[in-house]
Amino acid sequence: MNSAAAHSCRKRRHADAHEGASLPRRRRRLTIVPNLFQAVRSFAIRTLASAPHKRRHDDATSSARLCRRRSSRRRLSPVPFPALRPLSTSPLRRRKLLVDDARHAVSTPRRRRSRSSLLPRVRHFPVFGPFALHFLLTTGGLAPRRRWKPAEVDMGNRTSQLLGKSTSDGVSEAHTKRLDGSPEVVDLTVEAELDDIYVVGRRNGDWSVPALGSSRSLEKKAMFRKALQWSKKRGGRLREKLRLAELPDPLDTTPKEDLSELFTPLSDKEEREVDTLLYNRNHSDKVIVIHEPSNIEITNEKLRCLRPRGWLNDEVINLYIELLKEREEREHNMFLKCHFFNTFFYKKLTCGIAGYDYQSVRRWTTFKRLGYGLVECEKIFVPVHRNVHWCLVVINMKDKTLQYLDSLGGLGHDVLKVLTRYIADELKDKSNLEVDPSSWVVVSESLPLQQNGWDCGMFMLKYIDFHSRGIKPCFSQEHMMYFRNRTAKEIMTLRAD
Amino acid sequence: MEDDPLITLKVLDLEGRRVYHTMRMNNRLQGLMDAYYKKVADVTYGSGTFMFDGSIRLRGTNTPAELDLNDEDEIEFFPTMIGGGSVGA
Repeated sequence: MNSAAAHSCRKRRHADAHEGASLPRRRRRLTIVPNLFQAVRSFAIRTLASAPHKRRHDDATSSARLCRRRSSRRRLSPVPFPALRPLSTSPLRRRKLLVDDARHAVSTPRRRRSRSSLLPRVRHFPVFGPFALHFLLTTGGLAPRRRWKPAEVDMGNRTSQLLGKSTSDGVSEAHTKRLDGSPEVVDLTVEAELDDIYVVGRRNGDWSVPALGSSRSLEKKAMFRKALQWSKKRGGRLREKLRLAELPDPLDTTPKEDLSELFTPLSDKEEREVDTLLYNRNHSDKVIVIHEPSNIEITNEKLRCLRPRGWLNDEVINLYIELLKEREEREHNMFLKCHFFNTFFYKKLTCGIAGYDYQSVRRWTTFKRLGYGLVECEKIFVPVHRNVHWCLVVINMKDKTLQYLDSLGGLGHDVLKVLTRYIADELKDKSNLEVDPSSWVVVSESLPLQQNGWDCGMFMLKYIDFHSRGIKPCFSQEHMMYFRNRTAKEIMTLRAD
Repeated sequence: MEDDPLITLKVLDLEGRRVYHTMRMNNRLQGLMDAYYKKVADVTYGSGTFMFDGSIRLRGTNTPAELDLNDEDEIEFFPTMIGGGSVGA
């Protein structure tokens, strides 16, 4: 401790002693001589009215007026103590104590005083001077004489509100007890029935009873949440299977058995295989599968993007698109005639300074290469990679629509503009057709949207899957975990169903 | 060596950079890829995809003869794309 602090401590102790000694003595004297008390009171009022803060002059005078009114009512009261209190607001004394307080903001034994000595303490805050006086006169001066406890609670409440902090004295203890929901305090508030106390009691009741109720319901909520989590954990897999087995409402015209096939749960054996595939400790460069027709090889590292929260990479997406292509060739009658562009197409089409280069992709769709022309297809899927987001454009050649499917709900006007131009150029180049597809653009219907920051690739693949079946996408975020596992399984077996 | 002629392949990436590489029809294409990665310093080695005509994928173990590549064919290089859902630019 440095010398200044030590000095201030000494000074403080002195001040304490001074205060402790002087106050009761003065009080005693004044109680004995009632005439003098009257004189002192009027002096105090005068002092207050002529207080040096001009800005609060009105407040001071009004509270003084109030004080006069109260005291006139109080004249019948047998104990003249409360009216004493204005006395100690004399400016000289207040200034002295203010310095003392400023140096010792931390709680000291002096704070552990009885309630009666707490009351003058409020006066030490010069800002609240007139207000504190007001409080003391309204609550401390009137109420507590007749009924001790509720008023004490009330004072504690008000005082701590006024001071903006909780001290360790008796009043605040009562206050905190009340907040904690101590039963005897509640009883008091419920029993409060006297006219003066009534206001206080009702306020206490308003504060404490809902507080108790809410804390109890919070406990209950936490308990229920815990139980729910537990049951979720226990029956998670079963529930998942059940939920997947029960079908979402069919928005489409296809029979129900087709939809159930879309959500067929993996068998236990398949799930184990997928788990070992996604979470094995093999070297990340180890090649898991090679798709011979497209020459795509999937390494361990690439496949790990199908783990929960993984961002899908282009190779996994392209392989899955290849598998969808094969599925369509395998089962003509079940799936629509579609053309699936890979993830590179849109990148290539939009590369270069102009942002559109038809010549760079002109050879991608030759009849010789595809074995069919785009004009024959019912639907054309264009995966679009934008920065770190996957979305899709579905070009419906049959219905002549152009639709942008974004799992984040984007509108993709720029993408649609590019692809409108591409369709026009492509049809002119390959089929010598003059078409203006700008009128084809339709705003997509209600789409299932992703609720996180990692599932857009999976959403995109499933938009393709569902659209190539001629079904509107009727899945949701909660199916994504299942779809990830299912895609891993389908990539592992190189067959999409 | 009349049955294994030299061909020159061109690698073109999305930034418009061109890398030429001359090789034999029965040499592995890994040489072409290495040449590209060596020339283009800002692309991580082995991080992208080499495609021909948007549908034929090149792997290091393939040869031009296997993939039916001819002299002066243009190979496209695409860097790896990943996406999760942050709003694109």
